[in-house]
Amino acid sequence: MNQPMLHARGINKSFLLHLQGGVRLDVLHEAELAVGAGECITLAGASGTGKSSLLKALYGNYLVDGGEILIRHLGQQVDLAAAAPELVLAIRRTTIGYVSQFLRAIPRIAAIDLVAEPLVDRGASGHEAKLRAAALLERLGIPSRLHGLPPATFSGGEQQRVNLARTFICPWPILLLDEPTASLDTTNRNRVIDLIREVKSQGCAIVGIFHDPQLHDAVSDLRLLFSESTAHSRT
Amino acid sequence: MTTLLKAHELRHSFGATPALDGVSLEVRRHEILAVVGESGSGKTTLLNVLAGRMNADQGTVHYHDGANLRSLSELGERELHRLQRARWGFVEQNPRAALRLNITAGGNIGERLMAAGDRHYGNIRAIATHWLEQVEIDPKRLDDLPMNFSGGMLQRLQIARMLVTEPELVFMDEPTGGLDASVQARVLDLIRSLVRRLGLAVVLVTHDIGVARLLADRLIVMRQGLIVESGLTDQVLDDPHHAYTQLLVSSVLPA
Repeated sequence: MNQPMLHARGINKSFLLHLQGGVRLDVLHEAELAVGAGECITLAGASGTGKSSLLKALYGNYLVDGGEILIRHLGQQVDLAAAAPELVLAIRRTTIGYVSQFLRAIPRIAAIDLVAEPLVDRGASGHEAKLRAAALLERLGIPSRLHGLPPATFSGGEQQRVNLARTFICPWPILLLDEPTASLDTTNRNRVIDLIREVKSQGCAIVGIFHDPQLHDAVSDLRLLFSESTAHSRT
Repeated sequence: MTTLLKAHELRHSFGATPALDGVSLEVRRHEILAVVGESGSGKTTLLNVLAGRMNADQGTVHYHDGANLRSLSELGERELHRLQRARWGFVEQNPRAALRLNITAGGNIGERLMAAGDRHYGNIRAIATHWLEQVEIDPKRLDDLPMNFSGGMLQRLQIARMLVTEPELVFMDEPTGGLDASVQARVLDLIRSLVRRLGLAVVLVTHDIGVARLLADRLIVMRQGLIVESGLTDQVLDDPHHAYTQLLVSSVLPA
């Protein structure tokens, strides 16, 4: 692999729960991961072994206690683990996209506007952004009669596809995917697989948590197995 | 240089009770900073000091006017008022405290424009109409008295009045605190879209962490006059480190 897009090393993370009598949960211990352009790494292992925590740390959503998260951001290498909030926000605007398991719906905002918003933030006209949002929603099987409605009332699978569309509408050098097909049927899962393969072929570096074996087999290049000891081993 | 406002070691007491006990922070251009904490944590005092509405016992607040970083205490009263009338805005929790209920909606908006120096009646009317539309109030209500407006409309009118001079820095004190939940969503959505579109910097005081999550880039958690935790909004709320922040986050009922 030439220079990785994302290289995390020596990652330690624990939670100190003050309200539970100061219990300390050690979640990640010296975790390491590197992913290059056009490559997809999956985090595998039982629930509670720290997969989601690592993914959240890679997005700056969890603060790590130690280690580096080196990222290629606008042609330069930066350490997300040591970055000030403004830099983390800038990285999230242009370099790292993240698809969470659940859509955080915003009251009153229509699905199509929610999906178009990241493009508008990047300077696209409202009209162009909406056209692209509509096309992507259609591609993900969300019929146009739903586009104008706020997604709070959508089914779990529909919300998940709106969530995916909101991220996939922009090109990202790095994508973090947390179970993007958990509530989808086979047809829709296959649509998402196509989409992931497409961005991968365009050079996107992907780190994902995929419990779905079909999705995993279709897109993953390398599997990192997480275990109770929280350090991973390669398979 | 993107710092817009910079507070250093602010201290203030009401009698024996410290409201600010050494608070330092920066507000950057185009950033939305939320200050959360329980009643009595000092967050409203902080907002009033930052906005130049009261002086702290100790400490300094500097404002970057585009060319220089200037201390609020060194600005004369006239210059401070000019800032507050044009380049800054303040949104009160209770719109009745900010609006004049016995003059028309258009008059309320126009008043701020005139205070900022505009004298052309036709201009003022056209601009007032434009801002009523921006806050989703029917322009036909331009000549109506706000005393007949609902709570949500009054809050939107207050926002229009404040935005009419196109400020760069806005202070908000529980802007949706007095509203019904259904109205609250509309006002929040409006604030969210206007702030993004106009590129405003905002200091937002709220006790509602849902409001902070929706609107703010960065978050400051205050308790007993101190900043106990600060950082990216989602990071502080999803991975709170301080015992008080953990309590705050875990006390919220999921919707």
